[in-house]
Amino acid sequence: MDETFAPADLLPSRVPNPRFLRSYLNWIGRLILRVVRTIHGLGAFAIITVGVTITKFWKASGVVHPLIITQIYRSGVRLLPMVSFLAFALGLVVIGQTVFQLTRVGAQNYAGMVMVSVVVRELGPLMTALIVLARVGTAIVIELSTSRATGEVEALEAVGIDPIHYLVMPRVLGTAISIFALTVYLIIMALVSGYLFIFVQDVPLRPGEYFNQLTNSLGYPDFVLLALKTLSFGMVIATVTCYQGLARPVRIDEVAEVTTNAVVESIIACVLLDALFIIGYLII
Amino acid sequence: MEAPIEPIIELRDADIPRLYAVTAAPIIQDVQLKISRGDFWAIGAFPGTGKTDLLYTAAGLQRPLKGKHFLFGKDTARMHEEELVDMRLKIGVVFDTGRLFGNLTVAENLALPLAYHFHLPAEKRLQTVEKVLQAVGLTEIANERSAQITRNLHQRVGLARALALNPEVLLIDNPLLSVDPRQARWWLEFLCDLNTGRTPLRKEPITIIVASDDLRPWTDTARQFAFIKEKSFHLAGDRESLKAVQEPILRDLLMAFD
Repeated sequence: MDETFAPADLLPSRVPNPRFLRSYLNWIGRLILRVVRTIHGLGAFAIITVGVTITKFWKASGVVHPLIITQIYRSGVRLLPMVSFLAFALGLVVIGQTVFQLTRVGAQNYAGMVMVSVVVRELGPLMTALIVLARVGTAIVIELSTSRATGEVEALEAVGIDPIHYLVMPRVLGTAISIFALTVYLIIMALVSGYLFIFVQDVPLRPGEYFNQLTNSLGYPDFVLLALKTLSFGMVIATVTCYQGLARPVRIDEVAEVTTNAVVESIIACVLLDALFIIGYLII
Repeated sequence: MEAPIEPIIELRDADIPRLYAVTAAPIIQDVQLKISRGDFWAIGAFPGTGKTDLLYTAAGLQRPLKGKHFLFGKDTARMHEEELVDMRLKIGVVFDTGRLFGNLTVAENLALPLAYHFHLPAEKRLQTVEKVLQAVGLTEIANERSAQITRNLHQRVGLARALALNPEVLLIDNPLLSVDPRQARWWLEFLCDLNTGRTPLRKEPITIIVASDDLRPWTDTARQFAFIKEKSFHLAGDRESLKAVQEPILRDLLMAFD
């Protein structure tokens, strides 16, 4: 037997390849720089948007305020059928998975509390935000980046119209109001559809008792935090999508890439924001 | 003794930035330019040499990297944003591709800046729009979506949009690029009429600065000439001086297709 040969020689070396390690570290470094740049850019863009909203809200109201209404229609009213379907499904799923189990252990009195914890505090706002992001946020990025690519933004500046005031402010306010209103609608529909499932499953829970459970589980902070959370989601989604669409000049072939970036950044921002609100709920 | 005429646009030792450039390297250096009321300038340069960047800077849409920029005698670096916007409203910019708002009709393209800046009753606004569209011969396409109109009318709509704000100066980027000979004649005659105050829109002369890849059509229309050569801006003087300048690039710009 040849003593110089060992099966371990056939295996790849365990010592990391220095070139591979360097390129991996480079990749991490670039990623960190990109994240920092994005946060910096987004932060600056958000501050400018807030500044413009405060200082110019009443300027050219005849032109800009109808755009807010249009945005509410696009990101709110037009999404009602989809949100209705989702609310119905959400009520059935949550009640289907929980109340049935609760009934088996005789704890059906907690159905209302489960609905409030899951639907009102968590899933309702987050799901609505994600629907609006998918249906409206992507449209905003495509619309604005195309406007940027075709030079419409420069044309606005040339005629003295502030693009943040004309393009961004209505979208941010409209989307924030829409997500708030849609979430309230989704929650009410989910709570009603949840009871429908309870009724169909013959769970011994009267409507009055269910309603009492809901009202007992809901507190004043729930309403405040729900409003803050949904408005924040709306503002974050609209700001991120507008930022990706407008912040830098894009070519037509880059529109798909900026749309993907906007969706990813919006989801990350919403989840982080949601985590902050969970801490808020725990403190309260 | 007459008081010296104050230039309405002035660039002094200005370095012109490239639009949307990542680097801070200027595309044109040390520009000295004084535009006086009533002038008709034609600036010749080949594509990619900084014509559009120069017009953007002159209009106050971007700041020079170095040097001074004055609008109507005021230093733009010391202007508050609102003041700069007010100044810019006196300067109409007509982009090379029109850059119309694609989701609006032609009439709405003109009405938008009017509605945004002035609290005019809708009827008065409509009258202004109709008057401008009539002057530029676009009444027939007033209600068509700007994204759907023929491409060689885009810049004419852009001109109408700029004129709707009643500017004192017009900066026009390559107006004769991709237009047919009949339209080219219309542009030359109409700009000449605007410059001499012979249109129903305005009785006072409008100062005009045109940037072009081909100076030949402008030799009988413009009165002041300049050209860009290797990152520097050169004045070529009036029509008589233009003939005398022996600069090869200028010769090329004057016989581009001969």
